[in-house]
Amino acid sequence: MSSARALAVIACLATFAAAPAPAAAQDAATRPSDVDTFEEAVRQTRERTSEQRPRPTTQVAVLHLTLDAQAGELRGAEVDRIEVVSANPPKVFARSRGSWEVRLQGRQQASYRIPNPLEDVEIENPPDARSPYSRVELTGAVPFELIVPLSRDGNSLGVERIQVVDTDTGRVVVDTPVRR
Amino acid sequence: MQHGITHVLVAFLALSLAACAVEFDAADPPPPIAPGSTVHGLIEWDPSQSSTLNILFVADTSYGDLAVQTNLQAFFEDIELVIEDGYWQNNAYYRNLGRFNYYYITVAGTAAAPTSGICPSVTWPAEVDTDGAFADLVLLLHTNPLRDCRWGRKATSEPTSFRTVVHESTHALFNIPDEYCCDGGYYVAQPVLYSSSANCSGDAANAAWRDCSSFTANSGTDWWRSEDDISDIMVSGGSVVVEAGRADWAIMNDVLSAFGSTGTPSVFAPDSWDHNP
Repeated sequence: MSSARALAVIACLATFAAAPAPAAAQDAATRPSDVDTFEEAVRQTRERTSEQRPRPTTQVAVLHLTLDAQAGELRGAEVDRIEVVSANPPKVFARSRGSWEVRLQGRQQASYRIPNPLEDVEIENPPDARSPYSRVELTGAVPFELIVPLSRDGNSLGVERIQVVDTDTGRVVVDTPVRR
Repeated sequence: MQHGITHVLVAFLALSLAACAVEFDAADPPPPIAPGSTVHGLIEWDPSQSSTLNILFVADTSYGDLAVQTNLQAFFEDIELVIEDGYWQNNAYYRNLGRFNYYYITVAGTAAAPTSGICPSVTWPAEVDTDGAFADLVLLLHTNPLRDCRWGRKATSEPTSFRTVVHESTHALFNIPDEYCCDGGYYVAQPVLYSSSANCSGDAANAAWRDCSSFTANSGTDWWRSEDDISDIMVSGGSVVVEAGRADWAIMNDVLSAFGSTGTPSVFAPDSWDHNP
């Protein structure tokens, strides 16, 4: 950053300092009361996006799967590889719905639901179509990445195995150990 | 001399205004969220990501090298369009805008015409499943016209397909099924969709709006909607964003309230609303 630009940024920040305080801790954030516009949202969060932080201490397992499908029906599944990466967990427990159940087995048991991924592919239809979108019926090898949190509420679950079950059929789709 | 000072002052004022620009600014992009990450924050209400749903934008290679400022700015401006004229045009998203963080990744993907099947042929950067593993939704923006698809948490879209963006995002972020007949993706998700008439008419959770009606999916399975034929965001297509139904909101609220307080929408489908009247 040039010195002139740095000075300009300082001048800008000084202006912001006189403005209403940014919405502080966002644990109560829904629509911060003084945010009505996109510009205001960017302004209030710019300080946060300009700060780097350490990598998260929590981990997720990324299961690279290949599903074998025939007209949208599951015939088989293979685990191609599993990666364990440092990441905050996606909100899978909060949105738990669907016919497949992901079961985490280890020091603490946990589970959540997801839609059957073979029934969760959708395409836009042309404007003159009968329905605006359509489910895509898949046949053949279907790659699917399943991201599984290995922690909950910030605490490691000590996951040793991950099992995925189709609750409509009772079929175990995936049952695999997790090695770090 | 005085003329020179005036020039300096004008230049400084121009720089100050540029620095104060409250849009995504490719001239001064945010750093990676963590050392070595390819993900950068655009709007982060909660950098810990614990009280937000997190949306990650991926650029199609047609935007060009994102290290070039003009290319990154074009991508930024399309993301702004998606947020402001897409998500925020839906009252449920707008009233809860502090529950959504937005990010972009510096590694591009590609979305091209299908080479087999009917969905676009997409190459996702591997980093969306590592650096971007936290994301609840990964949205690849492209400018070439395509019939877009969503696969679980990953979707493609033109930056102006606002209703498609919100429809597909609502699937991925909240696990809400389709509500249009007859070839959508259906699964039991109360109080939106039920597998029997008795379950729909007997669910106290939909008592405030209950008008159960059935449809038969192409698969032959019967489903019951609690909101009859109200045209909400999970029913209808088109370019203009429409609102969530009361049943949709019940699920959205269930998800969002896991992170803290929520704001109940002031408008539900079929009524319309414009956040920029």
